[in-house]
Amino acid sequence: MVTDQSTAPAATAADIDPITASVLQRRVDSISKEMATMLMRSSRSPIFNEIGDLVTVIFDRNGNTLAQAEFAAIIAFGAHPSLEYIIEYFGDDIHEGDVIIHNDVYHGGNQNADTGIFLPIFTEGRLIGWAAAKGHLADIGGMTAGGYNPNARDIWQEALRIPPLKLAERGVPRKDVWDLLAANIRFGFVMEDIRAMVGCCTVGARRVVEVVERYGLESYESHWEYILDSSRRQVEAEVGRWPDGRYHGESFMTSDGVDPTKKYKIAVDIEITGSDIVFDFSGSDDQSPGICNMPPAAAKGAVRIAFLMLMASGGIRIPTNQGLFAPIATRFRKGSIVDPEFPAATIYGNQLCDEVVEAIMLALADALPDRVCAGWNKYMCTATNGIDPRTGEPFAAFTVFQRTGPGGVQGQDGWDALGFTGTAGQMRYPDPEMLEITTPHFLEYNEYLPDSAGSGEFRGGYGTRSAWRTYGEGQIGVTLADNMAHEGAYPARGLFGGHDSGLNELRVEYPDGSSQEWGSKEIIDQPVGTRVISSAGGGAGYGDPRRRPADKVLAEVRDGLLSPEKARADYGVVLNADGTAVDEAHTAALRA
Amino acid sequence: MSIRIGIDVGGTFTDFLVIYPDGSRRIHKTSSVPSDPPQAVLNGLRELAELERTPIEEFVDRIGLIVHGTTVTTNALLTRRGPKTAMLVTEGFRDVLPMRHGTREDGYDNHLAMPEPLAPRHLRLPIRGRMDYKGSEVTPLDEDGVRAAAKVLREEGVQALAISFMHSHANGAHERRAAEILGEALPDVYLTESAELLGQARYYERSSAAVLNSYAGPIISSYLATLTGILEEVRFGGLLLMMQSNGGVATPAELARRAALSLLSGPASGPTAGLLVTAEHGWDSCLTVDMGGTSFDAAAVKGGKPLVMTDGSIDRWSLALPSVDIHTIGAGGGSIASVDEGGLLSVGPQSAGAVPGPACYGRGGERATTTDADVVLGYLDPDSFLNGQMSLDKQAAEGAIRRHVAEPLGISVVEAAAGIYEMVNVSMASGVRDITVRRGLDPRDFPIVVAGGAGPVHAAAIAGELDIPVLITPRDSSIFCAAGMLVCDFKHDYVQSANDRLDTLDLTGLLRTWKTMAEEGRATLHGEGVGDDAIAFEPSLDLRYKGQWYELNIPLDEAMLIAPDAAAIAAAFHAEHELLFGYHSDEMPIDVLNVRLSAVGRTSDERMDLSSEVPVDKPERPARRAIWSPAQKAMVEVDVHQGTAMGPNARVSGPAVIELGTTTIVVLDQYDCVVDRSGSFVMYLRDRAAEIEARLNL
Repeated sequence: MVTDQSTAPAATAADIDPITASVLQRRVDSISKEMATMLMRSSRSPIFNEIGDLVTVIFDRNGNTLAQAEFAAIIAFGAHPSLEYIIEYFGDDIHEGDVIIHNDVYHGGNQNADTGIFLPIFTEGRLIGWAAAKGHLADIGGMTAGGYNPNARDIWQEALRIPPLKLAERGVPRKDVWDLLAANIRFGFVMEDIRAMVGCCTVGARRVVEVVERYGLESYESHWEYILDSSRRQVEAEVGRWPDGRYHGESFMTSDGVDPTKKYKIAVDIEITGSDIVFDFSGSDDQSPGICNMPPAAAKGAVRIAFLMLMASGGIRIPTNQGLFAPIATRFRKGSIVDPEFPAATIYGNQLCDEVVEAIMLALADALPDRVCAGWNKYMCTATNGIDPRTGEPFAAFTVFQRTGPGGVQGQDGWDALGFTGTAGQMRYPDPEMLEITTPHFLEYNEYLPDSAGSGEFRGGYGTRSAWRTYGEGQIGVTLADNMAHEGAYPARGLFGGHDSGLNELRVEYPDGSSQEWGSKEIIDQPVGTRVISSAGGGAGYGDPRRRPADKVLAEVRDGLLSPEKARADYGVVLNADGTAVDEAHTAALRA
Repeated sequence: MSIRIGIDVGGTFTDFLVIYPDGSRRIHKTSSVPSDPPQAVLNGLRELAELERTPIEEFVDRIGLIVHGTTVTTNALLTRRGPKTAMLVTEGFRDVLPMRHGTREDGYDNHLAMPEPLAPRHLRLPIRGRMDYKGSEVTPLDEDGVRAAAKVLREEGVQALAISFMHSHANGAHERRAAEILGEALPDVYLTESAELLGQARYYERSSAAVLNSYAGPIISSYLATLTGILEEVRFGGLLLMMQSNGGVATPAELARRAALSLLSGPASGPTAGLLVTAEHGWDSCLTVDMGGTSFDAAAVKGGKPLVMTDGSIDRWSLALPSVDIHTIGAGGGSIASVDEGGLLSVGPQSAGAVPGPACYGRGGERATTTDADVVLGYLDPDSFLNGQMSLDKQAAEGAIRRHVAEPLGISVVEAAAGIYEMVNVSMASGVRDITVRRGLDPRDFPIVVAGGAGPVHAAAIAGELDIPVLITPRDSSIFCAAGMLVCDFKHDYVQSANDRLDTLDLTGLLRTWKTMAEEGRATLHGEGVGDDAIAFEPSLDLRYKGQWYELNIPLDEAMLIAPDAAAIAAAFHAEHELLFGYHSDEMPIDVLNVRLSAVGRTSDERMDLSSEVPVDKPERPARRAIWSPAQKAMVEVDVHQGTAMGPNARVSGPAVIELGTTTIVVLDQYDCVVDRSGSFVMYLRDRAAEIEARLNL
């Protein structure tokens, strides 16, 4: 069992000033944001800067998160478990000027491509905190560039494993270590990205020192205890209002990349007792033989995403710090898909965020009906690389323009084409023109997929239809996907009478005239002239579609998003002959 | 020599700054007419003529130049009172507009609503035809499809249309042809070709700019038609210029063509105005801040020029046209203070606005706001707020702060108010830091110019946060923007996408692109009446290391237009990268993304002398009142000076308060304040008095 039961010490010191605490929180929060701004603007790995798959964090000296700037949510909570391990590993051997790198999922990492830089912050020779940056690097060694290879059967095939390692010691860069890393990473620009991460942590550390000098160390630390404690109190007050009880929810992954029809259950039992909440995933299926295993650091991140969504839907916004998660405990069963035994491969683990979030939302539907969202259509994307014939240089790209739709919530439709829960709406869309300029692709179309939204009083978000041709040399593509129709996946679930989502479809047409369905975790060659056709499904609906106002249904028919047939069948809305108005009489009859 | 007038239309008042040929000034205010904004211009001119005791035609005849800024398009956009707008898109990309960057503003908030596109999907008509990224035709334009679209648009009664096709930045032929067909079929529809407006890659950004331009087009066109009609009626024969969001001015005809440049034009003259104030003392860089009821705007001027951004947005839509880089944060006088269940104080972003407003307004507001804190702390005098036109209810302010902040935190009302003051100041300081750090500027190098409203109450504290040693508050900040307009140059920006490596760049081709832009700029400026000797060109390139996502705009010397030098360009890029991000790499290839050129035309050689005739009232004995001293952590009794009675060289030592009618300058303990020769109030750290005084032109 692994538990995540951090407890912030209660602030009892008499000299605590709540105003000072409030201001201090604001100051340190803005440091983490400044670090992220710097990093996004100067880094080079596409998933890192285009998509914002990074996080910057300020910790206290014990490794408690004080403030962070997050974009791709699933990585956002992945820096903390790594630092816990680093602190334990180095013990007293941490010095001013050290720079530590880390990625290993069996030592606190969430995904091996998500690599972290950790800088201890010192004033007057004392350790006072940590500045960290973590980002998804375009390559970190292993048998395939970028690491995504469903044929991997163990962790060594996926990445160069880096338990903590000092890149610099007492201010002196270790050239031997840099060179060792560089020798094991395919793309030179990745080392530049690591340099950019060190740069932003250096700035963050300097700013923290300025703040500490302003307040004095003792006051800085006692006020931070108060801040973490007040976040904890606020969350406890909120969870305390949630109905006590035991709730069960489950969601399924289809295909483990080895057997395309095999299903894995991700099950959660949630126990709310007063202001405590426990997420127990022990009932989830055993780990898979391939890459579809979720390290606990990633699974905890997914729990936190669901939790923050539930809070946000209640209008509650709390700065992300250790106190926020103090009342949350998570439990996993060793050997299960969300806590695999060493040395299982895990590169697909982050993608299981959809399953974790759906299981939690379904579990809490009756307890918190105005907070939960219907199922998000699970993720679909390809990662591809090869040689760009225009420059003769390697390229790597993610086709994250294949957007799926989120589920509806009480009072609001799902956001169209938003994509993956794991990035929680913060993953940028690669511009169609920039995609063609920077990588050897021709995009035929990419727009909303009509009739893809799960019907509901509050419908799911629309998915997208896309097709593209490739002309990279030696180009390979790998899917990071689920919910494939041809693999027999279950759709995302609707709530309170809302309809289920659609499913995803992906087809490849080869230049020799042959074609195939592309599996959800499958690596393929993409010879020059390969065409990929993608239908990314919409999200599930919330509430009975017959309660949706008829004029909203009409508007979507007019917009070409909803067919008159589906308007009639699902929503009970009948339109006049030219589709410009609602046939009130027939609609009333159907809806009666 | 003739009269020059700057006219700034605000929500409540329209401000006129009149500069006479002898350099003397007159400031005039008239009520804005929200239902018919140009009317306020006419009303003001009539009132000015009356003050001069001359018939209006005679007064108008003496006016050589009117520069005018309007927020009419911004207001129409924010309230969605614009024209019915449609869009032609490349088939297969119908939703490029609402898909935006594929992100939402709050990642975890599943209840957040998507923004409503200005062109709804049934009016976003897909057209067959495709260019590739180099601008080679892949599929010819479906002209019949365009004609069919014209029919639909006519039936729908569309008034504005944007045409935005994939890769039109590389080849605009399809857009041009579609525009020809539509121009004939729909002569009364306002039409924007995306590449003609913004010839750069990124389909969403270009599409969004084109749609905003079309949406704003009919509004600004009709506004300008009314305004020029009114001016013709009174036989105005001088030059009318309009403020643009890029910090330059243009003739009405040019602005009507690039209507989106009116969208962020409201505060765009602020940075130039700030420069006017600081240039008196020899600074060519400054920060300007403006704090209103709901927001706080900060901008920077560097090396005599306002900083420009190309990643702006308005009402949740991208607006990538170059515009003055004004950073807005949601912290103003109306920002609401609250204590969460965990016992932490936050201020904003929720605002009480003007109605119900702060508790002290007595308009039904019950929440504690920044203004309420300012009243409790003695910074604002309940009896002399806004020249005494509005009295503030101090008891209501205290009550709101007690209920919502002091009691939940278990502290006194004054301590709670001081906490609100500090919180909002830290937020504003981080906004300023954001705009400077993002640009690699050190705020400690610049003076900060604080105009209007609540700004001078908070400015010293904000400056303290950022170690900014000098703050300047203009004597009459209501005409601050109007003064800036009168010294803004004509400015027209051109951009063309490129797709090259700097080291293998075809310099002849680059030169050709720049020359074409320069010719277009010259022709436009000639059309606006600018002579060759007043025209200058500012070339620049958007560059990034291969693989980076964000490009940097690197300004280049005008000499590059004769002899471009790739090595010098690379060196400038490395240096800027080093400045912004702390490192550079000589071995990394540099990509060229966009070629840019600004054509600048000097509007006037007449220097604006701010120093003439500072009117000074008869001094009275200063009153006394208690204000909060953050340094002493106590309420202290201080002198309250009447600013209008302080002439050049008058001095005040903090802690003190200077009342200036519509604003109040709070001089904190560690500051001194002196009035300069133009009447501005210069506040500086007493510790550095010798060094700073030596520099000031008093």
